[in-house]
Amino acid sequence: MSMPRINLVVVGHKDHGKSTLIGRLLYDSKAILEQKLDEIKAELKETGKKFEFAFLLDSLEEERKGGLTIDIMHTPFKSKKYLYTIIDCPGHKEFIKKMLTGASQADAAVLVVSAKEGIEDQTRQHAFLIKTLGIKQLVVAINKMDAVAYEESQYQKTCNELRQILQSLGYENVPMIPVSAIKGDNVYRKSEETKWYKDSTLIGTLDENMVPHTSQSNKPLRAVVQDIYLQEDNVKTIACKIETGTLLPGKNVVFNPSGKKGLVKKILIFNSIAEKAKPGDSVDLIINGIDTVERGEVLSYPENQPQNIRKFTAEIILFSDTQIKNGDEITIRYGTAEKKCKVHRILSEIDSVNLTISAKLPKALENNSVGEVELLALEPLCIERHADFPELGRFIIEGKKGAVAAGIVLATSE
Amino acid sequence: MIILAFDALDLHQVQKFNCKNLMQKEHGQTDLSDFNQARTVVLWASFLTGKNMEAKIPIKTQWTFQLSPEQTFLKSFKTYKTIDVPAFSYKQKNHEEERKLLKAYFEEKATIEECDAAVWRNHEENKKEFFSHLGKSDLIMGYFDLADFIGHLSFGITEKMAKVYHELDKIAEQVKNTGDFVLIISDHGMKALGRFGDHSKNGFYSSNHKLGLNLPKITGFYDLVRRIAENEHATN
Amino acid sequence: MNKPLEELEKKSIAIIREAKAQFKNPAVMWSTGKDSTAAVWLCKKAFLGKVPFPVIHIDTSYKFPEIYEFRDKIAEEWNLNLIVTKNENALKKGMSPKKGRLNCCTKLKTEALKNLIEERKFDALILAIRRDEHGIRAKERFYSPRDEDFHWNYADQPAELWDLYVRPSEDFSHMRVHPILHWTEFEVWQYMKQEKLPVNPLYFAKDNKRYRSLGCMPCTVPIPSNAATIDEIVEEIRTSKTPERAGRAQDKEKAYMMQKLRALGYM
Repeated sequence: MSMPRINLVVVGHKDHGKSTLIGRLLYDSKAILEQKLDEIKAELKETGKKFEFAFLLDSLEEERKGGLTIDIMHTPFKSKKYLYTIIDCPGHKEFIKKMLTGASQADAAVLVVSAKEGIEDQTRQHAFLIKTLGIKQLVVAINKMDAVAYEESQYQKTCNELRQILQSLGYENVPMIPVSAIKGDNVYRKSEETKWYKDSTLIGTLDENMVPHTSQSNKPLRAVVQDIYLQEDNVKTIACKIETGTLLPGKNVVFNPSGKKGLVKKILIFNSIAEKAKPGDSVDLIINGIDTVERGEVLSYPENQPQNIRKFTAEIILFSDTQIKNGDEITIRYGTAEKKCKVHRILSEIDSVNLTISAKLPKALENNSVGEVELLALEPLCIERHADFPELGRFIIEGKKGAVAAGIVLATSE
Repeated sequence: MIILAFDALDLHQVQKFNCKNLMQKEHGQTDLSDFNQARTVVLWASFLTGKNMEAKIPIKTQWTFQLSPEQTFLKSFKTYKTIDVPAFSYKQKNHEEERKLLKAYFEEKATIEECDAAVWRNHEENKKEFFSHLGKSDLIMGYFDLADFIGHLSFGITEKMAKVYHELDKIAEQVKNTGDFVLIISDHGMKALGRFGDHSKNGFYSSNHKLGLNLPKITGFYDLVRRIAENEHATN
Repeated sequence: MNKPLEELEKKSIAIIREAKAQFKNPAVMWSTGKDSTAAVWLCKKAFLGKVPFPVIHIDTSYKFPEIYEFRDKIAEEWNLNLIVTKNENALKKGMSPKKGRLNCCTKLKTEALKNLIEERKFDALILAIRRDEHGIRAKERFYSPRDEDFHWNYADQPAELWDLYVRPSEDFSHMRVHPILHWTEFEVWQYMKQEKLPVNPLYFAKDNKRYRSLGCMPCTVPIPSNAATIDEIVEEIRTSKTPERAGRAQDKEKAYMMQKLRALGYM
C-alpha cells in the first residue's frame, strides 16, 4: 500500500544542524540506498578513512556544493506511519525565496535550534515566515544536546525562550525534543543520555502529532475556473478545480465576481458522470443558464458566496530584486485569477528577525522584507480572508519572471 | 637531458597503439603503492624531489602548490628549462580553464568537443614552446596533459585515444636523435571506468639507455637524474 | 481508490489543466517508459479521455524494437496525436553512442527536440520527471522555464508558491511542466497497477533480467530480476536497495567518474 505522506520543511538558523538532522533521519530510517552507501564507503576506504556518520554528511555536503548529482537530501524516508518527503533544503543564496517555495508545499515544519548557541536571528525569522505562510503543524528539535553534556537545564532554558516567541506567533503546545543529530540521540533512537526526558523521539513525535493534508469537504463550496473546453459534440464545459466544500449536481450555483448564476446539470469526470466533486478534484461542468465564464472566476453556492472586494489588507513577503511603492500598479494571482491592483498604502514594515515593526507607513518595501499593505482592486475581484479560506486567501504578486512576492490576506472590505 | 613528462601515460595504451618511440630502449611501469591516491601534483612533486610529498600537499590547494628549485633535482643542472611542470612552473590559467570545462561538462554546460578543443590548444602551445627551447639548456622538461584530460572523458573511445597516443609518440620521435639522454615518465596510468578514465596506480617510464629497472618507484628517479646531471658536467 | 494515490493524481491533473489553460501550444513528451506513459494517461484523464495536444516521441533510432511496437499500439488505442521526431541530419552523419554518449544524447535527443520546438512553436512541454529519480531533479519545480538553449538556471529559479503556477511574461523560450514531480517510483508502479495501464514488456523479467528504466539500446543495461508481473515489480521496488537509474550506464558512470575526479581534486 502507498503510505500517507507528510511534506516536511526543515528550517532554523544556519549551522544549527539542519542538514545533519536530515542526514540522520535518512540514515536511521535506512532511506539511503545501500549502493549509495557502498560508493561512499569505497571512496572513504580509498582515502584511508573509516566510515562514520560524519563522513556520510561530508560526502552529502560535497555533492551539494557540486550543485548536482545525487542530491539525496530530498530522499523520502519512511516511519511506521508515514512517508515523509523533505521538500527543499536550500543553500544560503536566496534562502528566503527557496525556503518559501518549499515551505508553501509543506504540511509541517521542523524548526532546528541549537541548545549550544541558543536562539538566533534566523530562528525567529524562520518561525515567523512559517507562521506567515500558514503552516500550523510545528515540531522543534533542540539540537546539539551532546555539546551541552545533555544538560536538562540547558534544554529547558532554550525551550522557555523559544516558547515565548512561538506563543507570540500563535503556536501553542509545540513539542520540543532534545536531540543530537550527529550522535543520533532521540532522533530515531531513544537516548540513554537524556533520562530526564520522558516524551517521544523526534520521529515518534512526528508520527504522533502530524496529520496529512486533509480535504476541506465540509466547508462552504469554493471552486476556481481553470478553462473552458469545447468538447467533441460541440458542448462547452466549464473546467473547475474544487478548493473547499462539495459540489453536487442539481444545485444552484453562482460565479464571482461576474455574478453569473445557473444550475449544475452534469459533473463530468473521466469515463463517467460524477455524483459529487470534492476538494482537489478537477471536473468539467455543464451548467444550465451559463454558456461561458472567464478563467479565474470563483464558483460557490448562492447561500455562501465570496464578496466583491474593493480593498484588502495583506501581509506580504518580498523576494529578491523587488520593490513595492505606494501607488504602484501590480498584478496579483489568487486561485486561477490574475487581477490588477494598486498599492494604496504600505502600513508597516516588519522586522522579521526581531519580530517588531521597523517602520510605520514607509513609502516603499525592498527585497526580502515583510510588511503589511493595503491594496485597492482595479478590477472586480473576490479574494478572501486567509483565516476563512486559506486556498483563496493567499496570492502572489507577478513579476516578469514569475512570482516576486507572496501575500496573505488579513482583512477585506467591500 | 630531455624529460618528457606525460600525464597519465599508460603502459597498456602504449602497447595497444604500438607506440615504438614512447617505448624507447627500456620501458616499464612505475610502482605507486606508497601513495594513498594517485594525485597529479603530488606525484610530480615527488618525482622532482625524490620524496613522497603526499602529506605535504593538501588537496584543496594542490594545484597552486609550488616547489623551489633547491628542493628539486633541477638545482643539479647549470641551465634548465621547464614547460608547464606541475608543482613548479604549472600554467595556472590554462589548467584552471581545463578544470572548469571538465566541471562544466559534468554539469552538462559544456560539450565534450569544447573540452577537447581547449586541451588540444594548450597542448599545441606547450609543444611549440618545447621545441623552440630544445637543445638550448642542459635539461629541458616538457609537460603534456593530453592523455590525462582526454582520457578522463573519453578513455573508452578508441579512435580518440589513438589520436592522443600517436601525437605523443610523434613528440618522442622528434627527440629521438638529439643525442641527449631521454627519460619519458608519467605520474600515473589510467584505467577504464565505463567510457571514462580513472587514475591507476601504475605509471609509465621509458629511457633511451638501458637502466635495468624493475617496477621503480617514482621517487627513485631523483638520484638517477642527478647522476646524469653530474655526468653532463663532467663531459662538458 | 488508494487515498495517497488519489491525492497525487488530483494534483497532477490540476497541473496539466493549468498548463493547458496558460500556454498556447503545449505538448507532452512520451518515451513509452512507465513514467511518461502514466503522464500521458493523466493527460487523458484530465480532459475526459482525449489528450487535446500532441504527444511527442523522440526517436533516436537506437531504441528497442519493443518501444516502437508499444508506442504505435498505444498511440492507436488511446487515439493520440503522436509526433515522432528524429535528428535525421545527425544520423546521416553517423552519430552513435560510439562518438561519446553525451555527444550522442545531445544530438539525437536534445537537438531533435530543439528542432521540433522551433518548427512547431511549442511553448510548454509536459515531462514525466520525478524528484526522487536522481540528483539535481530534487531542485526542479512544477513549472520550470528554459531558454532557447534549454538552459535551466536552477540556482536562480522563480519562486513557486502553493499551487499558483505562474506563466512568466518574459525570459523563457518554453516552459517545462512536471506534473508527476512529486511522485516516487514506487507510487508510479502502484498507479500503473491500479489504473491497469499498459506496460512496455521490457520492464518484465526475461531470462532473469528486466529493464528498470528505458533508454536507448546501447546505453541501457537490464537489472537481474525475476519480476514478471506488475505485482512482482511493485514488491521488488519496495524492497530494492539500488537506485532506479542504476541500469543506465550513462548516469552511473558519470556519477562515479565525478566522484573520482572530485576525490582527486579536479572539481
